[in-house]
Amino acid sequence: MTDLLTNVKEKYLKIYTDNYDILNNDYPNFIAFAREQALTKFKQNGLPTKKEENYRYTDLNTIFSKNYELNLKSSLFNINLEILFKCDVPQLDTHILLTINGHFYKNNKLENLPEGIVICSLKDASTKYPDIFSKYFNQLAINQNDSIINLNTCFFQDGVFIYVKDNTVIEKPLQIVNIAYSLYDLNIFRRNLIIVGENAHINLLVCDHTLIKSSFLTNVVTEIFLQKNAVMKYTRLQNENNYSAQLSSLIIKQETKSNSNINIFSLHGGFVRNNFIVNLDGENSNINLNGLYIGDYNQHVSNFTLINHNVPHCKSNQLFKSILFNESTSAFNGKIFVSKNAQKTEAYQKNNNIILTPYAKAYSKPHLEIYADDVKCSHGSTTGQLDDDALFYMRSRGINYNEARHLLMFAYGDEIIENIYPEILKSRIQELFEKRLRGDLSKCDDCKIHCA
Amino acid sequence: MLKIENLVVSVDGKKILKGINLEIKKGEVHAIMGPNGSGKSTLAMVLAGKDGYTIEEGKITFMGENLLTLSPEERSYKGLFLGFQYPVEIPGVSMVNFLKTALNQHRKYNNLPPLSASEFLKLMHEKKELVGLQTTLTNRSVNEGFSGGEKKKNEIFQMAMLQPKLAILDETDSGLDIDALKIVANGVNKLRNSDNAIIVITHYQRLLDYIVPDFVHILYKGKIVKTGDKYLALELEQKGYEWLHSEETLKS
Repeated sequence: MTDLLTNVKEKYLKIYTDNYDILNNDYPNFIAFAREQALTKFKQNGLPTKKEENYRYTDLNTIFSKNYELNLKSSLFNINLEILFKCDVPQLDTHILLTINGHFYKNNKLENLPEGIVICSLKDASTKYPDIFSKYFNQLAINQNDSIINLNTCFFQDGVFIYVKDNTVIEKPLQIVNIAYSLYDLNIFRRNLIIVGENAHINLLVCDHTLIKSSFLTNVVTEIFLQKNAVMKYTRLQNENNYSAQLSSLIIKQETKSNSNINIFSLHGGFVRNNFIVNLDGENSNINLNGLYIGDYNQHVSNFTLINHNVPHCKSNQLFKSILFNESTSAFNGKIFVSKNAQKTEAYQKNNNIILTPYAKAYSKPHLEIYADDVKCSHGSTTGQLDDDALFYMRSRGINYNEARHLLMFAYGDEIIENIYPEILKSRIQELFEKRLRGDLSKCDDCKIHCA
Repeated sequence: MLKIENLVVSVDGKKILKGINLEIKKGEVHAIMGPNGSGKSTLAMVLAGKDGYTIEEGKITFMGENLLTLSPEERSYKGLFLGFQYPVEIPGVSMVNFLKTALNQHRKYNNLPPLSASEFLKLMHEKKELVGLQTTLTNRSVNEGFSGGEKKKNEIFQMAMLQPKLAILDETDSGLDIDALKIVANGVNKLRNSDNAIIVITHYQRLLDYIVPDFVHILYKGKIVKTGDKYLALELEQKGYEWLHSEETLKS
């Protein structure tokens, strides 16, 4: 008897063979080659089961038991997203671009982009900017053994390509809104490539939405290269419907003195798996990586992090916090790897979980692997309830039970939202978080999208 | 205002209060003194409605209502206030937000509209002056990083903001130096009037030099063993709690 994940593997292999031409159409030859390499690994490894340490707390059976369509031709629906989608952050002035079902939206109006930034579809980039594309594309993903990532390399059709040239500073946040829209359950693959040149700055806001109550299984891989002195702020709002699953992998390579500040907010989405794989390859590079995730009902949110300190004098700081209602579960599986020569490393990692019912579960596995001897590292994990003494103190002042709980939860999450820049985006995320806690976040006020 | 009749309370099966009787009328200040472990803080917590205390017997009436059926927040709305012995630090919840929420929930209970931001800030400023709280409160989390003295002043400040009918001050003097003690006592005295009442819980007579009580009760092993006027506190100060022990031995 074969199990589900083996069946799914066979299914993917068949789809790959049947659609080999469609997959590689319009792409340069090396893409087909990359796919073949990834396929070989995928064949070997299969889909990760709970026996694999990195997926021990995250059961992929639950998401692959659904029957998704896989559409490999370009964006199916010729809909006018401007009508459907209106982001209600009025004072938030962003360059906005949309993807639909993994494809770069063809009517993206990217006007008034500053000199020195290139934004286009991944597919276009492969032929329009062949030198830079081939230099970076797949250079990080190729080293990964995770089948979820290899599967993405096999099947991705499109995504977003961003190249910020050296010395280019983009003040205005760049907002990428990923939209899933389909009348039937859909498996989406999306692949992004982001290169931030020397001394360049970028502030990215990435929002994931589902427009309709179909089930989506999105597998997205984003490769990010931060050159010398590059600065990236990356804020992600995962807010898909609760029938959907997202497998997201962010793979980052940081050069000397580069800086990244990454904050992930998982608000809705039935099943969310985030992989963060960070290579600190240049001295004095620095990463802040934070996550805030809220689960209710049967939601599962899993964050897997691997920070490789490959050279001396780098700093990494991780803080992941969950709030779990009902029967929701979360997993944090974080690893800091400090190589032998990475002296003077500073690496910190913390995972806090609040479980609000006897049925919610938080799995936590902080992990340090250190081969250098002159480092400052720490890791820690806590799981508990809201502070009873604080609750009583507030109630004794007349703040009712629900409001007191709410204030405590908000304060707990705000430690992460604090990091968001600019101020207007911070307060917007505070607002969304507050709504989410009160259980009435389904959509932004003015937007016609009903995310959950 | 408050009537406690034959109150018996246990914690984890152990009897802490063994039949308390106490009546407090408006305009009165009562001091409750007693050695460590006599049940003073238990009494304060039971009055404020904290979980974990089992009422074995007796009843408590506050403003004509059965206090024991009310939630802590309802007790607050009805005018009961507990000044904590150990004020709780709440990281991330700002003092302003905390007080504004509290005050507006009180107002809502009394069918009053919420205060505007400027009204609120004005009131806060006024009450801070009144109780001599110099700490900047904006941008600070509740009690977080406050010194021992600031925390206690903050309790009196909250009392001033909420204007309770009955304030129970649980060891408000502990951890205070003599100057801070005077400021705190002075704040309490300013809030004292003929319509409200105060219960001062303390180990030492010192605080009672500044907040002069109408009655002094001595709580010992879960019972009020003596009641008198302010001179009882002085006598106790002189003779020490050992005196109670020997009196009790004599009785038996």
